Amino acid sequence: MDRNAYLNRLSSNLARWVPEQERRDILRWYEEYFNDAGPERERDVINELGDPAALAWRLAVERGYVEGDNEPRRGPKLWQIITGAAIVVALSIPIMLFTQLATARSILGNAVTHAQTEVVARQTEPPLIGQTVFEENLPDSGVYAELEPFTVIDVGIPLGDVTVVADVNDPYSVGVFGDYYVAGRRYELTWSMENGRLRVWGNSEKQSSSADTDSHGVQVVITVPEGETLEQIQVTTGLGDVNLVNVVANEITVETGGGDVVSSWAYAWKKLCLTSRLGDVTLEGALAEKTEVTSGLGNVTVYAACAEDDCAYDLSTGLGDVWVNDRYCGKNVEKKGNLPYELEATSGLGDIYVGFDD
Amino acid sequence: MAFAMGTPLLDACVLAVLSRGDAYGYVLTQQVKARLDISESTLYPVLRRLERDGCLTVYDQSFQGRNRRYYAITDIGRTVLNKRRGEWAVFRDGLEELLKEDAHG
Repeated sequence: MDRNAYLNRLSSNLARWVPEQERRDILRWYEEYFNDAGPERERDVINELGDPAALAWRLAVERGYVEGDNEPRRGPKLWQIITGAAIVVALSIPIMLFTQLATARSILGNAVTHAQTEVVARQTEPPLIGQTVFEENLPDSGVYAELEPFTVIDVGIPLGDVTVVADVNDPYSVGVFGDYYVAGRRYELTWSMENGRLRVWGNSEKQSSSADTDSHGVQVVITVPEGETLEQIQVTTGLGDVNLVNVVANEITVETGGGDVVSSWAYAWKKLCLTSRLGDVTLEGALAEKTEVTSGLGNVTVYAACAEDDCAYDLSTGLGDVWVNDRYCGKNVEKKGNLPYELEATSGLGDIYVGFDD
Repeated sequence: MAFAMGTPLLDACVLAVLSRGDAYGYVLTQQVKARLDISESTLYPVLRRLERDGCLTVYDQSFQGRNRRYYAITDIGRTVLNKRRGEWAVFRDGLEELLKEDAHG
């Protein structure tokens, strides 16, 4: 995300809560802020400001447009951003893309239409079912629920952004927001919680009277208390971004048809598998015993929190370039060995960049 | 931080930084951030308010082909800052008196 993308995201998020004139004023300040810092510090500024949606929320709270948490903290928790009001973030998927849903679906095939995985149960409890609320023109339709601990996350949706985040102050929770129409068909997201297993999936068979293609922002946000290790995290979305932050599991598998995947200090003990067909994949943090990062058209970036000597890797791209620690390595490079970490990165058209700790 | 910073204190902080010299938003923010857990999102309305009240003025200066917006304290701003400094001294002394660790207090 560069400066302009950041400001656009900030703007679209502010639009939900803050009147236009003040919004312009705020944006001007942040433009100035970026200008002042200069292009060489653009990345620092983005890191400093943090998630644009969170910043927009903070600004709205500080100005009294929404009721915030009185507790002083660094930033709002994700679910507060979302439950407090609507998700405009998800609208960052341009609406025109929705017409391409069919394409994305055919790319992913069954993975999308029937993306539901069976997983191991831990507890026996009656199922708890939550469903998105539908009201036309109400962008903040959705449900949020705090849950009993779960050990498996299984998300398989045809469209929407998915965020899985662990934080000290977070409960076990799920939020499912938004609904959308594609070619006269109404889609909805549903979740269930049963036997320690949280599932989110999309129903697509409902017929809508109108033939409009429209979206009210589709977003799934799951939170886990920091320090808990889950059995498995499995996320599949046909079209949308996937963000993993800080979560820990034995196995993590993420796949999106069109969208970016970002894993920021998420950790898998055994296997970490991140795939985007059309977008970029970025992984920052510790590697799993076996890590696979794959992009069809986009770039693959890995900032591995281990020394190069501890990692066996196999990196290859069809048309792009491969870089390891700023060394140019052509179209593919392989380093074998019986090492603690194994990294496999593949891109069809994009570049692969891997950086290791010194 | 457990203690909330009210408007008058925030105003005083910004004015105090500017009293040492004109600054642009980024540097101003960094200077305040270096000392206090206050974000740029809090400072921006403070600057707007101070500008509206005539406590500071704004001017643009080009720097390496781009415009930087500088903030400068005005005479009104200096008056307000001095007033706040006096009020703060009284407030601080009172607080310290109340909070001090003194078994015989």
